[in-house]
Amino acid sequence: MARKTATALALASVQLGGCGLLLPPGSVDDFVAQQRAAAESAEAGDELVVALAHWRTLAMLNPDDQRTRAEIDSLKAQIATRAGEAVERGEAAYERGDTQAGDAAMLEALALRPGMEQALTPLRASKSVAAHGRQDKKVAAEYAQRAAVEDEEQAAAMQDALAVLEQSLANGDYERVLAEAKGSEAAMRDLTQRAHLGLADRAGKRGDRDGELHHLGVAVALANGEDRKLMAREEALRESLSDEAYQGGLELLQTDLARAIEHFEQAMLYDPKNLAAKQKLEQAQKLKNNLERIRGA
Amino acid sequence: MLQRVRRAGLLALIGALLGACMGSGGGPVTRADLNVLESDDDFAIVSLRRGQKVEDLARIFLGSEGEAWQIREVNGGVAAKARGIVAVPLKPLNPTGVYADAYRTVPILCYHQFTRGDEASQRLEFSARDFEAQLRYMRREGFQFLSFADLAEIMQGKRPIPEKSVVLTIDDGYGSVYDVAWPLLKKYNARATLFIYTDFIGAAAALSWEELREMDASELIEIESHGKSHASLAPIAEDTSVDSYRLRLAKELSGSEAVFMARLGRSPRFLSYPYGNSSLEIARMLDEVGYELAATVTRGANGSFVDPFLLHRTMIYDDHTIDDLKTFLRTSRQH
Repeated sequence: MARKTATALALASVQLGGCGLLLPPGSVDDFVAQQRAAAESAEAGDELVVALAHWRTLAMLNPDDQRTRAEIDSLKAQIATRAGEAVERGEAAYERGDTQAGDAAMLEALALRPGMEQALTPLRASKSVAAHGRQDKKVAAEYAQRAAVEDEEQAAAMQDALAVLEQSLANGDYERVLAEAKGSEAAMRDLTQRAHLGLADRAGKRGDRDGELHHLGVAVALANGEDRKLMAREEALRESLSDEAYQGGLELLQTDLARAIEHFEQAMLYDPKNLAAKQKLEQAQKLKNNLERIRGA
Repeated sequence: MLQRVRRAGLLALIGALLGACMGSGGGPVTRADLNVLESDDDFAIVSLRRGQKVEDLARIFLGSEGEAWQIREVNGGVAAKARGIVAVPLKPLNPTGVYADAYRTVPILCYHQFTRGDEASQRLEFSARDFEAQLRYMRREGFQFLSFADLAEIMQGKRPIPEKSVVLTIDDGYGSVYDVAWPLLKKYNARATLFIYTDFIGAAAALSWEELREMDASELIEIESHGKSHASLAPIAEDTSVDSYRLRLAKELSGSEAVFMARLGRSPRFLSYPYGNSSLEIARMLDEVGYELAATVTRGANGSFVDPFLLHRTMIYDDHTIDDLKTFLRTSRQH
């Protein structure tokens, strides 16, 4: 009977030990040895946060152990000093614009004091500036690429349009050229100018000298005053038309004063430098005024 | 007779003790089953009983078996042996994940469309075969699939970056997410964040709101915003002034939010930028209106200190191999 009870107690002891109501033999010693070794290894690897955690778990099991307390105090002091120094170095590096050194110092501080605001905030700000810089570059590059593609497409479309208009010009279809030549590009301006010249020639041939002058005037304007030959041609035409009007005025001076004045005015419009026309216009207007005054009296 | 009574009493006591020891009778280990030797605000010291594992402690104290690495970290990196004493961190030991020579990172992968077969017809399509191969690889290698909500907690310092983790994201809202990706995500118990642009939903190639609601109700899928119209949220040629740019951004965000409220009954918390393009202006606006995180498509992994509105994300194309994936799944970086 006694043997049976002893056996039952032995069995129960094994069971209780197994389920943790009694600690397995040596388990505390094993834990202490493991945590000490881990703490020393972490400290050797400069992982002070992990080392501190190991020592703190040991202190929980044995609060009176002086060595553990001393290790904890020493680690806490080391961590505080080194983290503070790293933050100071980081701030100085950022101050002088050395982002890389600043980031490295702040990471060093965070490794010592995870979540340390004085390190995390400037590090995050630094990373944010760099990331926004990369984003801006990416967006600008894509924008430029899109613009280049659009420019290329526009250039191709322009070449097609120019070819069609060149053909129209060659066919003498100047009106179509003027209707379809859009835009301020040099090639379009050149086409338009040539179309106006064509129309000027055509008007000249059929005796429409006013029409010729109009188209020549537009062509000269499109050349931005840089085509001297064209300007000379326009000037000659203006002088010729001005002289014709002047001569017509002279012929009418004795018979129809009002129409003569119109001719002189027209001569001045064609060529403001026509001094003879200017003189005759003044004389005719004076004469007209005198006549009106006599009639009125 | 007295002896018989004593013996019966002793056996009854032993029986009762053994009964208590058996705990919850073969079911999952609970807090009441644990033998906690000591505890304070930061640590609990637990003596493991027969059959109890570090993963049980992780589930009970840290919310998930996947957090067992945190326990290993404060126990010398070794798996606690059965019936040993184990220290359990009750607060993250290193919430920023920065160590003496390296820091932890979370890679975010970005997918778009999926095909049932083995081949993809365009670069942004990913075949079911390749997607499953990637999921299988990540699962086998012990990667934790984090959600954006998890990532937000990491960025806020509320939880540490796991040893190995990854965030899967799927942009746009193509119908193939439901037909092809969703069954595989369920098979591998992999979380993913789906970024949809609301104008697209309901189109022929897109997901329906019913499908989205079904996935949203699961614990695996988060539905978040990819804007309203998929227009770039960086300045574009049509933005003739800062005011017109801001107005366009406000319309994109409020338009998307209104549809989220109407269809899912909640506002989005996270955003992925269409084309991955951002600006200081949109980042500020997202912060102001209450978004917590936003992702670009700039390749790279994320430390806990990156700008929460400029998260790095790696696009996955159909020609990427498992070897490519390995390089994308970088979980730490030297200082």
